[in-house]
Amino acid sequence: MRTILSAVFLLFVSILPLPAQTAEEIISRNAKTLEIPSIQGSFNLELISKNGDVRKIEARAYQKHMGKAQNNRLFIFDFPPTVRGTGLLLHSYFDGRENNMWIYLPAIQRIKRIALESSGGGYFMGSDFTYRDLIDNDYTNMDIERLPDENVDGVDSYIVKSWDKTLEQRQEHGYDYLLTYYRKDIYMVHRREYFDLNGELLKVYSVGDFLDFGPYIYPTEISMTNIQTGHRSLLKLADVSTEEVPERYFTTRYLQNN
Amino acid sequence: MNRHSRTGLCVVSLIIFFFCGAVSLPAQEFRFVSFFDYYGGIEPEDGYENVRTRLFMHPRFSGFNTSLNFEWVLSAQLWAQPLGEQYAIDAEDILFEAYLMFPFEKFDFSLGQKLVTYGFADVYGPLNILHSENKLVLSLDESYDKRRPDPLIQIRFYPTFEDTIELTYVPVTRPDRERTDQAALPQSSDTVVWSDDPYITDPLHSVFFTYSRYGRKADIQLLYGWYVEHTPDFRVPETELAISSDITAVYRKKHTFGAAYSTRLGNSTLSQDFAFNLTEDLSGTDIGAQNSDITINTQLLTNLPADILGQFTLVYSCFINHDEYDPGSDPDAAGYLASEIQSFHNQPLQHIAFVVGHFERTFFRNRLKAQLNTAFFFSPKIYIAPRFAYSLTDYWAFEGGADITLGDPPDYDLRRNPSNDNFYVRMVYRY
Repeated sequence: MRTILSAVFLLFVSILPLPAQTAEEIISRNAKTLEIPSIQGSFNLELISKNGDVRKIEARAYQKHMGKAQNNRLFIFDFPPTVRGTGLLLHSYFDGRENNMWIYLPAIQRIKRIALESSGGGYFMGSDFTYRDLIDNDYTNMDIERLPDENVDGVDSYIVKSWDKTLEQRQEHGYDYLLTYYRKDIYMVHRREYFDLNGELLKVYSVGDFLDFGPYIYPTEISMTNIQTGHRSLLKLADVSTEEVPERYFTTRYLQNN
Repeated sequence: MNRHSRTGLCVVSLIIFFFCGAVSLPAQEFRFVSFFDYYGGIEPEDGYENVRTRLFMHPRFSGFNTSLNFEWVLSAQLWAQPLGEQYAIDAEDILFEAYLMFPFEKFDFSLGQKLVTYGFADVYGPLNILHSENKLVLSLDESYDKRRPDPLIQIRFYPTFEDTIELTYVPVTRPDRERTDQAALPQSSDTVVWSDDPYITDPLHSVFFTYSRYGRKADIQLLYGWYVEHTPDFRVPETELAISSDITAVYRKKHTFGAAYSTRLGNSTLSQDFAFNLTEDLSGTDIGAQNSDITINTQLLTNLPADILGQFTLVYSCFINHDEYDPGSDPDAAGYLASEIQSFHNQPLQHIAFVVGHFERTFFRNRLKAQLNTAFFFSPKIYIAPRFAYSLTDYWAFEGGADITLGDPPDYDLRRNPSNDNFYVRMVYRY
């Protein structure tokens, strides 16, 4: 009798749905996959216009997590010649602090503090990525909501809708809300849809390839397609290394002496 | 091309050749900018005129010697006017940056001819004082042939990742590039005779000290400079109309005490540069000397609607003891001389202020960049300078623009730039 009761109990337990994950938990799991202590590589960006015209941008890219709440990134541009030697240093924070951004302009040999990532129109080097897109979302300033799961592009996905808490922030960033699609198996963002202030689909971010470093996952091929203009930007990361990047790389000293 | 320029070209070529051959260069880099441009004069009163053509080249070699742990940079600047009256860059200006930089864990040591930039303002920055300038540029934003590097020794000490302490010593510097022809001053019967020496040998020695911090909330810089001023004062023997004499250019030392900060202000970046310039003539009694001054440059870089990047600059200067010169026995002639010299020194009034607006937008994926520069001098005189640059390929670009000042051009006899409203077109190759 006890055996039968145990079997019935096990059967009952097994047919119960798994505890539902909240949007916060999904985002947190995804954030953990991105906490690679250091990563560097060659950054190749193709700007593809509607008529197929392609422009290329090449840079060296470095990234380092500085604890839980800070991520540093450095881009040193090598191509085209108009931007060669230009450096972009980003210190982004996930605890509500304002991000910092400096640019080194070799033509005038000057480091300038800039705040371009606040602008929805501040497109990165003419691509479909805004400067804001280069910085990880700080969800402390956003409201989030989990939507019903879907199979998107053949991938079982959790879907999280997120939006800035204030209208002012939404206007600054140029987006009304985002829909982010997380792979259920590894919690990687494989698609994100950006909706403009009229609620129309503006851009689609899509991951084509990624590297799996054990607990960490890093997308190495990303496309950003502007649905409204037909423009597309394809970002590929090559020669990827997870060797320790020295902290001094993320300083203005290195920015101007690169 | 004149004989000096040819000699200079040969010297630079030899330096480049031996430098490259002598040093083991595992990490070499070569950059090159070349262009041909044409300036046309479009001042309504003067009619159309050919102002200038220029064939320009700027090769730059650099590398890092890993075995001896130093970076080297060698670059040159070359230009010649191939059409019209033929002339070319002076031989002493051909060698541009040429220095060695030894990086250590906590400091860098640089030796050679190098460009150094101070302050945060990139338009009329009052702390950007180290180098001489070409005062004869046709466009105020000329970036190819404006600043000239100086020979220097520099130590940069980095006590933390955010802080930098810098000491720079310049043994000998250059004068600003001024007009070379003598300038007649008819209302005082005098003639200004310019110095044509390529270097200022009296006085010597300039020292600059800065502390900079690039922090999380703000960037700050403190500066002290005791240096040879590149803009000349004038030795005025007398101020009477009845007596003719030669007024000569003299170079003097100056102190600059400066402070600057740059911080984020909402969605914009605000920076302010403060400078207190102390000249040898604090009392203002020398009619030929620059006055001491306090200058504040306030700059706001912001994103405007329609994806336009805007930068607004407000410059204010107060000249201490302005117009305190001795009028002597001929106040009219002295007043004329003072007006000419103060205008030359950009010190026409005790207080001056002007606003510069820069607006920039790109089109076609950064292929076309359009800019508009404006300057408002709180007078009918308004400067308007539209610019465009279209990238034909990744290497070739076609650029153009115009420099227009509303109203009649000033008629100062000591005016540097003889041209007035102009336009230019430029074909640029960058590698």
